[in-house]
Amino acid sequence: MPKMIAVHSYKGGTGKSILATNLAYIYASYGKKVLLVDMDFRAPTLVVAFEFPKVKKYFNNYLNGECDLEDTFYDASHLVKHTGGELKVALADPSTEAIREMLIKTRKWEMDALRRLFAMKDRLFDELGYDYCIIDTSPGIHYSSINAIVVSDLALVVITLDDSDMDGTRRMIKELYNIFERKSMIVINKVVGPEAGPGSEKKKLVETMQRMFMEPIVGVLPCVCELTKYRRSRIFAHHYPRHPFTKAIKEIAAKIE
Amino acid sequence: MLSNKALPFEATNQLLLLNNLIYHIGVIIYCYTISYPQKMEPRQGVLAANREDVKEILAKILEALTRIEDALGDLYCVESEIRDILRGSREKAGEYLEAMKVLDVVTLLELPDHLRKTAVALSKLGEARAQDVAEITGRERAVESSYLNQLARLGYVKKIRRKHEVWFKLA
Ligand SMILES: Nc1ncnc2c1ncn2[C@@H]1O[C@H](COP(=O)(O)OP(=O)(O)OP(=O)(O)O)[C@@H](O)[C@H]1O
Ligand SMILES: [Mg+2]
Repeated sequence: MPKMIAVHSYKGGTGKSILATNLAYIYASYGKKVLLVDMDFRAPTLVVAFEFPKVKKYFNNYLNGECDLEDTFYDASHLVKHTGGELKVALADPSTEAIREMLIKTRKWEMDALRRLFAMKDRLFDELGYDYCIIDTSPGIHYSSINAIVVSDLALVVITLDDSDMDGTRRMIKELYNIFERKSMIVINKVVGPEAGPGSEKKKLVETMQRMFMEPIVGVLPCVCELTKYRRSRIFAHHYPRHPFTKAIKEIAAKIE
Repeated sequence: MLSNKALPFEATNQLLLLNNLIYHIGVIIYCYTISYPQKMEPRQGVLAANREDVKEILAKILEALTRIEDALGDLYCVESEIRDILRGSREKAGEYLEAMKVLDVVTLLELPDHLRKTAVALSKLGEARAQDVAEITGRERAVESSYLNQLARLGYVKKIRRKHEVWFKLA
């Protein structure tokens, strides 16, 4: 059972942040203890999604060795009350200064960051009793994303049915995940028409993709036009627990467990 | 031949240590010979006393040899340090650590498969002995020891000795 899951993609805007957030929420609503980490230091998003009133320490500070791991956790467990679950969130610093600073980190810093991520993994699962840690990453092959993939037990790759995306993804799986012997699973997002429905088209799509990537396809998420209408600050699965989009993410949660 | 001035402090120190050890081994072996002036077969009478002596002396030799082996290992590391420093025309030994190559994820990607596994395990531990790495990778200790030494030779990790144990450390 994977405990640390990196949500990644080759291209940007495939739906990583939405998947990561809702997956974390869903596991927490099942009574699990979950940490959601924003490691997209280039374009932090979770800070908007959760709107914590006062954030003193960001995950950047932990990787810089400036604070303890738990100083970066913010509690969102109120979203899952009465379930016995716990949802904590560690945010990426959205200030321009912090984003710039992350861009010019040295290789030595990245190496130390990797070690801190390994230390975090031990602490979360061996000492703090977490069930899951879900990491939202930057798209493509970037330091922070590779670091996240190397420490994770599973890379959940989000793709859309767009040619360049799939070619890039295929290369990335071969040249990155396979090299690190990282298990990967694929989620197809923004699927339109009958392929997103319950019929045989969906099954065919899954089979085709499975052959193409040689990795398990664990979810097909429908394109939901309303999604862009809902503000990011809404945890979709929380507000629309019976929506097909939520159901599809729940299926993913069950498959990777 | 390198002048002493070009050697980092550590290297000169190690050379002195090795010299010292060799001298002591000499003394020990000398003691051993005078315990048995004639033949290797001890005669009755002196047997009981000498057996203890020999045991003690052999233990000392063994200990000294281990230390020599350690010192040689250190020298080996120092030698590569010197080579790196000279290659980078860096005058001060203090700059050595910065000259060491960094094992970041991009470097990990470039390593051959067998070394990558070892290197990832070491990235996790920060510093470790061969047996600690073997526990993570599930390979033999001796295998990991050899891979760690290769990584040290490539300049990615630093080999250090601690109380008769070899530790490998990231830059
Ligand atoms: N299934 C979907 N249907 C419709 N819109 C979607 C769907 N999934 C994601 N989106 C929209 O796509 C946009 C990108 O989503 P998201 O921010 O989750 O992607 P991302 O992969 O995290 O992006 P980035 O690479 O920039 O971090 C958002 O506006 C989101 O509302
Ligand atoms: Mg995102």
